[in-house]
Amino acid sequence: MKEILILIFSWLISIALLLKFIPKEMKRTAHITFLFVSTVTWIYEYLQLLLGLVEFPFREFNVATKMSFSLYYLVYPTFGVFFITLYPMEKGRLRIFIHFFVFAIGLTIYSVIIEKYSSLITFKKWDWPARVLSNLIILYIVKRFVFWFKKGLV
Amino acid sequence: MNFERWMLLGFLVLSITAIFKLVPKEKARDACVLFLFLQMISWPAGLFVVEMGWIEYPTQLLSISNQYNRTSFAFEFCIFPIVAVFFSLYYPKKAKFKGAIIYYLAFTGFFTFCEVILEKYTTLVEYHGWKWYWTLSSVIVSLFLNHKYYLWFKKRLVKVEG
Repeated sequence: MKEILILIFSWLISIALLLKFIPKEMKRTAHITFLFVSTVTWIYEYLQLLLGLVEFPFREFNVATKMSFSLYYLVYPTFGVFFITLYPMEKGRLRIFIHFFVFAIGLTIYSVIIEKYSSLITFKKWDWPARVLSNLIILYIVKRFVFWFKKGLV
Repeated sequence: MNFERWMLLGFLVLSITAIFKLVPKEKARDACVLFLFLQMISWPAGLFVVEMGWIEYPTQLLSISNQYNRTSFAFEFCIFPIVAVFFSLYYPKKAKFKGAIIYYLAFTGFFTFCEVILEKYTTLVEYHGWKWYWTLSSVIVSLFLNHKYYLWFKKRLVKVEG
């Protein structure tokens, strides 16, 4: 029950944030970010599962998969969209560095909270510093892709 | 590795090669939009039909795949999105209603035909109460949505080098 509530809240909050805070002129950038992040993190999720780093005891599609659906279809991509939308353009290295860390740590805190209070996710031999690092790598890949893509957007 | 797995690998290599060889550089971003958006449709749709027990993929690329995820990675995340890329990039813009219908049916009909053959003669895909016309109609709907989305997205895409 808790799990369902968390998922419903995650859906509502993500959709509300996306609809409310994405500036109109950044709509397509936000879209491509969302799409790209969900694909990358799906692979990330699959690898974590194959390597036995993580389990998802409570799942939306219990029979079809051992993977979580919403966390990587919606929540992570939403983080990704705001990571790109709020990216400090033309700012110093330190500011960019902080930006990366804020989002990587934010994602990790979300995962720590849902691990603690629900059975949506259980981490095995996969400690939080390693997760922060893997989130940093994913955010970097996302940033590279989206900035390349943006060159063809007006 | 058994013969069917080689076949699957062959389809994957073929479709990936096709996308790199046949999509021109200046259409790279168009292809990304088409490829990525289709996954957003095929991912939940694939999970849903497997969850309902309508379709099964007994032989997957890795023998352990089905222990983790019973939907078809090859189909939903690779082959179908690549088909969708070609569908929209070669879409006949000038076609009238009748031409569009023929184009849709030719693409989706061929796709469905291939799946039916695979269902019949291999264990790559098995239908349990699923019918070919459900594949046909769901592929038509997916391609239609994908194409409409692409047309919207394209309004802000410009040609650039690299």
